[in-house]
Amino acid sequence: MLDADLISVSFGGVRAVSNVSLSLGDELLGLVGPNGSGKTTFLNAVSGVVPATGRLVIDGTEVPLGRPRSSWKAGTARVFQAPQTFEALSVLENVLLASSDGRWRGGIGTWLARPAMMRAERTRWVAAHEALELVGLGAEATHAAGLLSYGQQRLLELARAISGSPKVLLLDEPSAGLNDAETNGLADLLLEVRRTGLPMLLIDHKVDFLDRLCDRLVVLELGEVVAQGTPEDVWSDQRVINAYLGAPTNAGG
Amino acid sequence: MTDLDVPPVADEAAAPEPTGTARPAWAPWWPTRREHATLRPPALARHQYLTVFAFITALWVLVPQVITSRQDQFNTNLWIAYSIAGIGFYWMIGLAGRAAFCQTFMMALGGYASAWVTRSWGDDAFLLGVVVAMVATAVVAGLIAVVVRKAQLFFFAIATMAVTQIGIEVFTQTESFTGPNGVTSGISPPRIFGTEYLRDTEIFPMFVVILTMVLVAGAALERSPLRREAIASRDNPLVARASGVSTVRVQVVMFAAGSSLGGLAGAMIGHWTGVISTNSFSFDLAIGIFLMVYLGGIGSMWGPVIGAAFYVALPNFLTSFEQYNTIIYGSLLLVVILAMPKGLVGVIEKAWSAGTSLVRRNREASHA
Repeated sequence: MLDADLISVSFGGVRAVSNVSLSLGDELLGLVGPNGSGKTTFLNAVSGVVPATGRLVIDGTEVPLGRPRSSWKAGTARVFQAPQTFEALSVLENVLLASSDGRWRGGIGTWLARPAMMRAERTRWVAAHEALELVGLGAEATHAAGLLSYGQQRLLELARAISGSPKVLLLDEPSAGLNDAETNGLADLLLEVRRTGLPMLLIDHKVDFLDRLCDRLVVLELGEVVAQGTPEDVWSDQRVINAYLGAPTNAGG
Repeated sequence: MTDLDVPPVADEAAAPEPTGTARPAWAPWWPTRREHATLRPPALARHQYLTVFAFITALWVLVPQVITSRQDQFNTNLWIAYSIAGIGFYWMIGLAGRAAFCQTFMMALGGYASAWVTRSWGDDAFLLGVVVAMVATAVVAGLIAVVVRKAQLFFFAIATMAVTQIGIEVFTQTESFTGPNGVTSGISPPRIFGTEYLRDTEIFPMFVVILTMVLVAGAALERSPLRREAIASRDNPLVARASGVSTVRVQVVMFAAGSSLGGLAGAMIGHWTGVISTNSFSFDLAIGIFLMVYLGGIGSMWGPVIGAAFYVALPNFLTSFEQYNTIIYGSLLLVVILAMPKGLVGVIEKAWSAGTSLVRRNREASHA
């Protein structure tokens, strides 16, 4: 579904992601690694938010890098680490933005073809509202997005991401800032979405959360892939333990 | 229930087996289909057209009653023309976040273009001239917007100021289009189907009709997908693009549409006063439009209308302090920015909501 080949991202002289290749099939893939290992930067590269080099193929089509809209057109949808909602818009409008239905959204629909525009809008409203119902924000649809709590904004972002009928869902630490109960609720929700056959790439730090969701894990350290496999294999891998806890030394022992 | 409790999505037993298709069809297996009315985003509420209707009716009925002097009638007409240019400016800066300082250039261009059309095709070509003015400004603005599409905030503001400076210089040079030294005089008065609108009192109803159309177009924009995409492009272009919004297209459309209102206002002023010169659209007016929109309120299309009224009326109240006008305008702008960032519209809204909540509380108290 998603094939990333030798993706590199540099900021000035710093190589944040170095020749990372990974392939995502019909699965929920976890991307883990210590802070600063380049997970988010890799996701940024895939969603076109930062300039990158390498080759990215989504669903058989090569996607130009560094162009968010091209990545979106190719079928990626992104949930950001810090919720990125549009506070000046209503909850429903936030979701509507990502609608994959582009009919009559420009100046002609606005001023000349209003009946056609309103017809298209009605079908978009229904679809957006369904996405909101799925994440449990149906009752807040007409509220201003700025009034939502932090956790609700995350859910809103998730609704926005899935409402565009993406081919790949990119989730950047969706459980950050949530307590255990909330994290469990989120896992249920993601599994519910996953059941529709939507592949996901998930960054997170919570091991239980990852183990419950992920079919496979890829471990990054210092911008490079150091291990991959099933969660059990990965967590018992010595390189992963070293990456998280530091390599054992003989000092004192 | 806390904010973050995720309600169960669907009854597990009722949920059909996942079909396993590669692309999720968001087929609703959860029973959520409601009436469209409840799904309608608040921005698409219908009352906006009613507000336009009420405002225009009040204008139509009250203005002839209130106005006593020719100067008042002139100012009222000028207010309407400036309101239209201001609404265009609001579309660009308020909704799309593009600080376009070339609205005066667009007004001049519209004025010259329309004057040129009536000069070439005769006095009856007034309506054609207005249309040409709007199309010409929209096309020029569209080209500018495409060229400077990457420029953000200050760079965009400076680029549009540069366009204005260059444009004014070009207007003074291209005398076959603009007249000697960029002064076109003797522009034919508005003529629609053989009826000539010469005096200010005759111009007024025609201007009100045009303002009505602009306000309806403004309300239509407020109730459209374009508005939310413009706001998204303004507030966070990167996330908007990652959500599939073509921010460049949206900003080009908004800039062209807003500029064409500038062209419309310029054409109206040209045919009404009979004269277009580069001086009538000087840098002072550029600041003036900025003041109108911010004084009135940057968050609503009614802001420029209220702000323009203030801008046109203020010198009348301050005739004895004429030499201090610039200082007064500057101070006003400061007061607005510091004390009422939502402008006069924000103050009115606050008063309105305070009033309605007072009424509600009184009613509840009397019921209790």
